Amino acid sequence: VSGGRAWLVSMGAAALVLVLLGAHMATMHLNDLLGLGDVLAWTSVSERARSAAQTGAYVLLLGAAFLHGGLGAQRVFREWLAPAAAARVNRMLTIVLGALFVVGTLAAVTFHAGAGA
Amino acid sequence: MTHESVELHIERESGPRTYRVPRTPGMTVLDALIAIRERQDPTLVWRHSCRMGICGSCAMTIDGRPGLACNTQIATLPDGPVRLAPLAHLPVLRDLVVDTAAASRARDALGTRLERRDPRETEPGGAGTYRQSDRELTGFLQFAYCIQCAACVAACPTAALDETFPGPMALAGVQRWNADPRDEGAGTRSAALGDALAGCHLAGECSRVCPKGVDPALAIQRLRRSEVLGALGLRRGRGSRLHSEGSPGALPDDAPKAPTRTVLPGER
Repeated sequence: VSGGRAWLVSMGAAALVLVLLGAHMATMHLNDLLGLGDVLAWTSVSERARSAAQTGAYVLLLGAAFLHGGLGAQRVFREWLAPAAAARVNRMLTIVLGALFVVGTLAAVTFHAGAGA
Repeated sequence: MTHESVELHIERESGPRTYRVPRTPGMTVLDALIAIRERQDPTLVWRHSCRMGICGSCAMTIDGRPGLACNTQIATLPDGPVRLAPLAHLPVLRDLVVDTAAASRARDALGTRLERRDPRETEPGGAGTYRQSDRELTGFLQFAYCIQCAACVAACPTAALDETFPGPMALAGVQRWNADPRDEGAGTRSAALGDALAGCHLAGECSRVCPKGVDPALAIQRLRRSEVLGALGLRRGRGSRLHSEGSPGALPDDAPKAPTRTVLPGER
Protein backbone atom coordinates (compact mmCIF):
# COMPACT_ATOMS: atom_id res chain seq x y z
CA VAL A 1 0.00 0.00 0.00
CA SER A 2 1.37 3.37 -0.90
CA GLY A 3 0.18 6.89 -1.48
CA GLY A 4 -2.35 8.84 0.50
CA ARG A 5 -4.21 5.77 1.72
CA ALA A 6 -1.22 4.22 3.51
CA TRP A 7 -1.87 6.08 6.75
CA LEU A 8 -5.58 5.31 6.61
CA VAL A 9 -4.96 1.62 5.95
CA SER A 10 -2.42 1.51 8.77
CA MET A 11 -4.89 3.09 11.20
CA GLY A 12 -7.73 0.85 10.03
CA ALA A 13 -5.54 -2.21 10.49
CA ALA A 14 -4.58 -0.98 13.96
CA ALA A 15 -8.25 -0.69 14.91
CA LEU A 16 -8.88 -4.21 13.60
CA VAL A 17 -5.89 -5.58 15.52
CA LEU A 18 -7.19 -3.89 18.66
CA VAL A 19 -10.61 -5.51 18.33
CA LEU A 20 -9.38 -8.98 17.33
CA LEU A 21 -6.54 -8.99 19.85
CA GLY A 22 -9.02 -7.84 22.49
CA ALA A 23 -11.26 -10.78 21.60
CA HIS A 24 -8.25 -13.11 21.74
CA MET A 25 -7.16 -11.80 25.14
CA ALA A 26 -10.68 -12.02 26.51
CA THR A 27 -11.09 -15.57 25.22
CA MET A 28 -7.73 -16.84 26.41
CA HIS A 29 -7.33 -14.99 29.69
CA LEU A 30 -10.82 -14.11 30.89
CA ASN A 31 -12.24 -17.57 30.14
CA ASP A 32 -13.19 -18.20 33.76
CA LEU A 33 -14.99 -14.88 34.06
CA LEU A 34 -16.75 -15.36 30.73
CA GLY A 35 -17.61 -18.99 31.42
CA LEU A 36 -15.74 -20.34 28.40
CA GLY A 37 -14.30 -23.35 30.22
CA ASP A 38 -10.79 -24.69 29.64
CA VAL A 39 -9.90 -22.89 26.43
CA LEU A 40 -6.46 -24.54 26.27
CA ALA A 41 -7.82 -28.10 26.30
CA TRP A 42 -7.29 -30.01 23.06
CA THR A 43 -11.02 -30.39 22.49
CA SER A 44 -11.51 -26.61 22.81
CA VAL A 45 -8.67 -25.84 20.43
CA SER A 46 -9.98 -28.41 17.97
CA GLU A 47 -13.49 -26.99 18.23
CA ARG A 48 -12.23 -23.48 17.45
CA ALA A 49 -10.24 -24.78 14.51
CA ARG A 50 -13.38 -26.37 13.05
CA SER A 51 -15.13 -23.01 13.10
CA ALA A 52 -14.81 -21.17 9.80
CA ALA A 53 -15.47 -17.87 11.59
CA GLN A 54 -12.59 -18.53 13.99
CA THR A 55 -10.26 -19.44 11.13
CA GLY A 56 -11.32 -16.32 9.25
CA ALA A 57 -10.68 -14.21 12.33
CA TYR A 58 -7.18 -15.70 12.70
CA VAL A 59 -6.36 -14.91 9.07
CA LEU A 60 -7.82 -11.42 9.43
CA LEU A 61 -5.75 -10.77 12.56
CA LEU A 62 -2.64 -12.03 10.82
CA GLY A 63 -3.24 -9.79 7.83
CA ALA A 64 -4.09 -6.72 9.91
CA ALA A 65 -1.03 -7.23 12.12
CA PHE A 66 1.29 -7.61 9.11
CA LEU A 67 -0.27 -4.60 7.41
CA HIS A 68 0.01 -2.33 10.44
CA GLY A 69 3.44 -3.60 11.46
CA GLY A 70 4.71 -3.63 7.89
CA LEU A 71 3.62 -0.08 7.12
CA GLY A 72 5.08 1.10 10.42
CA ALA A 73 8.37 -0.66 9.72
CA GLN A 74 8.49 0.82 6.23
CA ARG A 75 8.20 4.31 7.72
CA VAL A 76 10.99 3.53 10.15
CA PHE A 77 13.26 2.37 7.33
CA ARG A 78 12.42 5.47 5.30
CA GLU A 79 13.59 7.64 8.17
CA TRP A 80 16.52 5.43 9.07
CA LEU A 81 18.06 4.64 5.69
CA ALA A 82 18.94 6.54 2.56
CA PRO A 83 16.01 6.69 0.10
CA ALA A 84 17.41 4.11 -2.33
CA ALA A 85 18.36 1.67 0.44
CA ALA A 86 15.02 2.20 2.17
CA ALA A 87 13.18 1.42 -1.07
CA ARG A 88 15.15 -1.83 -1.47
CA VAL A 89 14.62 -2.90 2.15
CA ASN A 90 10.94 -2.04 1.99
CA ARG A 91 10.46 -4.08 -1.18
CA MET A 92 12.09 -7.05 0.56
CA LEU A 93 9.98 -6.47 3.65
CA THR A 94 6.82 -6.51 1.55
CA ILE A 95 7.85 -9.80 -0.05
CA VAL A 96 8.80 -11.41 3.27
CA LEU A 97 5.61 -10.30 5.03
CA GLY A 98 3.54 -11.40 2.03
CA ALA A 99 5.17 -14.82 2.12
CA LEU A 100 4.66 -15.12 5.88
CA PHE A 101 1.02 -14.19 5.45
CA VAL A 102 0.57 -16.92 2.85
CA VAL A 103 2.28 -19.46 5.13
CA GLY A 104 0.19 -18.37 8.14
CA THR A 105 -3.03 -18.51 6.12
CA LEU A 106 -2.17 -21.95 4.75
CA ALA A 107 -1.43 -23.16 8.29
CA ALA A 108 -4.75 -21.87 9.60
CA VAL A 109 -6.70 -23.27 6.66
CA THR A 110 -4.89 -26.63 6.83
CA PHE A 111 -5.55 -26.88 10.55
CA HIS A 112 -9.19 -25.97 9.93
CA ALA A 113 -9.52 -28.61 7.22
CA GLY A 114 -7.72 -31.23 9.33
CA ALA A 115 -9.81 -30.55 12.40
CA GLY A 116 -12.99 -30.84 10.39
CA ALA A 117 -11.98 -34.14 8.85
CA MET B 1 27.25 37.81 29.22
CA THR B 2 27.38 40.73 31.61
CA HIS B 3 24.98 43.62 32.13
CA GLU B 4 27.24 45.77 29.95
CA SER B 5 27.99 43.38 27.12
CA VAL B 6 26.66 40.33 25.33
CA GLU B 7 28.79 37.40 24.21
CA LEU B 8 27.68 35.53 21.13
CA HIS B 9 29.01 32.18 19.94
CA ILE B 10 28.16 31.90 16.26
CA GLU B 11 28.50 28.78 14.12
CA ARG B 12 29.87 30.21 10.91
CA GLU B 13 30.71 28.54 7.66
CA SER B 14 34.39 28.88 8.51
CA GLY B 15 33.90 27.54 12.04
CA PRO B 16 32.67 28.84 15.40
CA ARG B 17 33.46 32.45 16.28
CA THR B 18 32.88 34.40 19.47
CA TYR B 19 31.91 38.08 19.54
CA ARG B 20 31.19 40.52 22.32
CA VAL B 21 29.00 43.56 21.76
CA PRO B 22 27.78 46.35 24.09
CA ARG B 23 24.39 45.55 25.51
CA THR B 24 21.52 48.01 25.06
CA PRO B 25 18.08 48.05 26.68
CA GLY B 26 15.62 45.78 24.86
CA MET B 27 18.38 44.43 22.65
CA THR B 28 17.32 41.60 20.35
CA VAL B 29 19.51 38.93 18.82
CA LEU B 30 19.12 40.76 15.51
CA ASP B 31 20.34 44.00 17.13
CA ALA B 32 23.40 42.15 18.38
CA LEU B 33 24.11 40.69 14.93
CA ILE B 34 23.79 44.12 13.32
CA ALA B 35 26.17 45.52 15.92
CA ILE B 36 28.70 42.83 15.09
CA ARG B 37 28.51 43.45 11.39
CA GLU B 38 28.66 47.23 11.69
CA ARG B 39 31.51 47.44 14.21
CA GLN B 40 33.45 44.19 14.24
CA ASP B 41 33.01 41.80 11.35
CA PRO B 42 31.38 42.90 8.09
CA THR B 43 31.76 39.38 6.68
CA LEU B 44 29.15 37.86 9.01
CA VAL B 45 26.16 36.81 6.90
CA TRP B 46 22.52 36.29 7.86
CA ARG B 47 19.15 37.27 6.41
CA HIS B 48 16.83 39.91 7.76
CA SER B 49 14.33 42.37 6.39
CA CYS B 50 11.32 43.59 8.35
CA ARG B 51 12.83 43.51 11.87
CA MET B 52 9.37 42.96 13.34
CA GLY B 53 8.56 39.25 13.04
CA ILE B 54 6.65 39.48 9.79
CA CYS B 55 8.99 38.43 7.00
CA GLY B 56 10.44 35.34 8.70
CA SER B 57 13.81 35.74 7.04
CA CYS B 58 15.92 35.97 10.22
CA ALA B 59 15.00 32.50 11.48
CA MET B 60 17.99 30.74 13.03
CA THR B 61 18.87 28.44 15.88
CA ILE B 62 19.08 30.50 19.04
CA ASP B 63 20.41 28.70 22.09
CA GLY B 64 19.51 25.37 20.52
CA ARG B 65 15.97 26.23 19.42
CA PRO B 66 14.72 27.65 16.14
CA GLY B 67 13.42 31.19 16.43
CA LEU B 68 13.42 34.64 14.89
CA ALA B 69 16.41 36.81 15.73
CA CYS B 70 14.27 39.95 15.49
CA ASN B 71 11.72 38.99 18.14
CA THR B 72 14.05 37.24 20.56
CA GLN B 73 15.30 39.62 23.22
CA ILE B 74 18.67 38.90 24.78
CA ALA B 75 17.08 39.45 28.20
CA THR B 76 14.76 36.47 27.68
CA LEU B 77 17.65 34.06 27.05
CA PRO B 78 19.44 32.11 29.78
CA ASP B 79 22.56 33.63 31.30
CA GLY B 80 25.78 32.90 29.50
CA PRO B 81 26.85 33.31 25.90
CA VAL B 82 24.15 33.39 23.25
CA ARG B 83 24.70 30.45 20.91
CA LEU B 84 23.64 31.05 17.31
CA ALA B 85 23.63 28.57 14.45
CA PRO B 86 21.85 28.19 11.13
CA LEU B 87 18.49 26.40 11.14
CA ALA B 88 19.08 22.69 11.57
CA HIS B 89 18.52 20.10 8.82
CA LEU B 90 18.44 22.71 6.06
CA PRO B 91 21.26 23.26 3.56
CA VAL B 92 23.55 26.05 4.74
CA LEU B 93 24.30 28.64 2.10
CA ARG B 94 26.61 30.74 4.24
CA ASP B 95 27.03 31.40 7.97
CA LEU B 96 23.48 31.73 9.33
CA VAL B 97 21.75 31.64 5.95
CA VAL B 98 19.97 28.42 4.97
CA ASP B 99 18.24 27.36 1.79
CA THR B 100 14.50 27.07 2.45
CA ALA B 101 13.62 26.51 -1.21
CA ALA B 102 12.94 22.79 -0.75
CA ALA B 103 10.52 23.50 2.11
CA SER B 104 8.76 26.13 0.02
CA ARG B 105 8.61 23.82 -3.00
CA ALA B 106 7.05 21.10 -0.84
CA ARG B 107 4.45 23.63 0.28
CA ASP B 108 3.69 24.76 -3.26
CA ALA B 109 3.52 21.18 -4.54
CA LEU B 110 0.62 20.47 -2.21
CA GLY B 111 -1.55 23.14 -3.80
CA THR B 112 -1.48 25.72 -1.04
CA ARG B 113 -3.64 28.26 -2.80
CA LEU B 114 -7.34 28.89 -3.13
CA GLU B 115 -9.00 26.38 -5.45
CA ARG B 116 -12.39 27.02 -7.00
CA ARG B 117 -14.17 24.76 -9.43
CA ASP B 118 -16.33 27.22 -11.30
CA PRO B 119 -14.23 28.70 -14.12
CA ARG B 120 -16.79 31.47 -14.63
CA GLU B 121 -15.50 33.10 -11.46
CA THR B 122 -12.25 33.96 -13.19
CA GLU B 123 -14.02 35.72 -16.03
CA PRO B 124 -14.51 39.48 -16.03
CA GLY B 125 -17.41 40.33 -13.75
CA GLY B 126 -17.43 36.82 -12.37
CA ALA B 127 -16.08 37.75 -8.98
CA GLY B 128 -18.29 38.57 -6.06
CA THR B 129 -18.06 38.92 -2.34
CA TYR B 130 -17.27 35.98 -0.12
CA ARG B 131 -18.72 36.13 3.31
CA GLN B 132 -17.57 34.05 6.22
CA SER B 133 -18.82 33.72 9.75
CA ASP B 134 -16.51 34.40 12.64
CA ARG B 135 -16.47 30.67 13.35
CA GLU B 136 -15.40 29.87 9.80
CA LEU B 137 -12.69 32.50 9.97
CA THR B 138 -11.40 31.15 13.27
CA GLY B 139 -11.14 27.69 11.67
CA PHE B 140 -8.26 28.68 9.45
CA LEU B 141 -7.02 32.07 10.66
CA GLN B 142 -4.14 30.83 12.80
CA PHE B 143 -2.76 28.81 9.88
CA ALA B 144 -2.87 31.93 7.71
CA TYR B 145 -0.42 33.59 10.13
CA CYS B 146 2.41 31.36 8.87
CA ILE B 147 5.29 33.51 7.61
CA GLN B 148 7.17 30.54 6.14
CA CYS B 149 10.26 31.10 8.26
CA ALA B 150 10.87 27.30 8.32
CA ALA B 151 11.53 27.26 12.08
CA CYS B 152 9.02 24.40 12.34
CA VAL B 153 10.81 22.47 9.61
CA ALA B 154 14.10 22.79 11.49
CA ALA B 155 12.43 21.58 14.69
CA CYS B 156 10.67 18.60 13.10
CA PRO B 157 12.37 15.24 13.79
CA THR B 158 10.70 13.59 10.78
CA ALA B 159 11.75 16.34 8.38
CA ALA B 160 15.29 15.85 9.67
CA LEU B 161 15.29 12.16 8.79
CA ASP B 162 12.92 11.73 5.83
CA GLU B 163 13.55 13.99 2.88
CA THR B 164 10.27 12.92 1.29
CA PHE B 165 8.28 14.32 4.23
CA PRO B 166 6.92 17.73 3.18
CA GLY B 167 7.27 19.12 6.70
CA PRO B 168 4.98 20.96 9.11
CA MET B 169 5.15 24.25 7.20
CA ALA B 170 3.69 22.65 4.08
CA LEU B 171 1.07 20.67 5.97
CA ALA B 172 -0.08 23.74 7.92
CA GLY B 173 -0.37 25.46 4.54
CA VAL B 174 -2.61 22.66 3.30
CA GLN B 175 -4.87 22.94 6.35
CA ARG B 176 -4.98 26.71 5.94
CA TRP B 177 -6.87 26.24 2.65
CA ASN B 178 -8.68 23.02 3.49
CA ALA B 179 -10.29 24.77 6.46
CA ASP B 180 -11.28 27.78 4.40
CA PRO B 181 -14.95 27.49 3.46
CA ARG B 182 -14.32 29.29 0.17
CA ASP B 183 -11.93 26.57 -0.96
CA GLU B 184 -12.85 23.52 -3.01
CA GLY B 185 -9.44 21.89 -3.42
CA ALA B 186 -9.29 19.57 -0.40
CA GLY B 187 -9.71 16.47 -2.56
CA THR B 188 -6.88 17.48 -4.89
CA ARG B 189 -4.60 18.20 -1.95
CA SER B 190 -5.51 14.90 -0.32
CA ALA B 191 -4.25 13.09 -3.40
CA ALA B 192 -1.08 15.20 -3.45
CA LEU B 193 -0.34 14.48 0.20
CA GLY B 194 0.85 10.96 -0.55
CA ASP B 195 1.62 9.29 2.75
CA ALA B 196 2.84 12.55 4.28
CA LEU B 197 0.35 12.28 7.12
CA ALA B 198 1.93 9.02 8.24
CA GLY B 199 5.26 10.78 8.75
CA CYS B 200 4.24 12.95 11.68
CA HIS B 201 5.11 11.37 15.03
CA LEU B 202 3.36 14.13 16.95
CA ALA B 203 6.50 15.36 18.65
CA GLY B 204 4.79 18.77 18.64
CA GLU B 205 8.06 20.69 18.49
CA CYS B 206 6.86 22.53 15.37
CA SER B 207 4.05 24.12 17.37
CA ARG B 208 6.34 24.99 20.27
CA VAL B 209 8.89 26.87 18.18
CA CYS B 210 6.55 28.75 15.82
CA PRO B 211 7.18 32.45 16.39
CA LYS B 212 3.68 33.32 15.13
CA GLY B 213 1.73 30.94 17.33
CA VAL B 214 0.70 28.67 14.46
CA ASP B 215 0.03 25.09 15.52
CA PRO B 216 1.18 22.83 12.66
CA ALA B 217 0.70 19.72 14.82
CA LEU B 218 -2.98 20.63 15.14
CA ALA B 219 -3.13 21.18 11.38
CA ILE B 220 -1.79 17.67 10.80
CA GLN B 221 -4.29 16.18 13.24
CA ARG B 222 -7.11 17.98 11.45
CA LEU B 223 -5.82 16.77 8.10
CA ARG B 224 -5.84 13.22 9.44
CA ARG B 225 -9.38 13.64 10.68
CA SER B 226 -10.35 14.98 7.28
CA GLU B 227 -8.75 11.94 5.60
CA VAL B 228 -10.72 9.57 7.82
CA LEU B 229 -13.96 11.46 7.19
CA GLY B 230 -13.19 11.50 3.48
CA ALA B 231 -12.64 7.73 3.44
CA LEU B 232 -15.95 7.28 5.22
CA GLY B 233 -17.67 9.66 2.80
CA LEU B 234 -18.41 12.12 5.58
CA ARG B 235 -16.20 15.02 4.53
CA ARG B 236 -18.21 18.22 4.41
CA GLY B 237 -18.62 20.07 1.15
CA ARG B 238 -16.69 23.27 0.76
CA GLY B 239 -16.90 26.46 -1.19
CA SER B 240 -19.98 27.92 -2.80
CA ARG B 241 -20.08 31.05 -0.71
CA LEU B 242 -19.93 33.65 -3.41
CA HIS B 243 -22.54 36.33 -2.93
CA SER B 244 -23.50 38.68 -5.68
CA GLU B 245 -24.33 41.56 -3.39
CA GLY B 246 -23.39 42.97 -0.06
CA SER B 247 -20.24 44.29 1.51
CA PRO B 248 -17.42 42.08 2.72
CA GLY B 249 -17.53 41.09 6.31
CA ALA B 250 -18.27 38.26 8.67
CA LEU B 251 -21.79 36.95 8.92
CA PRO B 252 -23.18 35.97 12.30
CA ASP B 253 -23.29 32.25 12.94
CA ASP B 254 -27.09 32.24 12.81
CA ALA B 255 -27.12 33.81 9.36
CA PRO B 256 -29.08 31.98 6.66
CA LYS B 257 -27.17 29.16 5.05
CA ALA B 258 -25.38 29.96 1.83
CA PRO B 259 -26.57 28.28 -1.33
CA THR B 260 -24.97 24.96 -2.17
CA ARG B 261 -23.89 26.23 -5.57
CA THR B 262 -21.85 29.28 -6.44
CA VAL B 263 -24.09 32.27 -7.03
CA LEU B 264 -22.60 34.48 -9.68
CA PRO B 265 -23.39 38.15 -10.19
CA GLY B 266 -26.70 38.50 -11.94
CA GLU B 267 -27.93 35.11 -10.79
CA ARG B 268 -30.55 34.43 -8.17
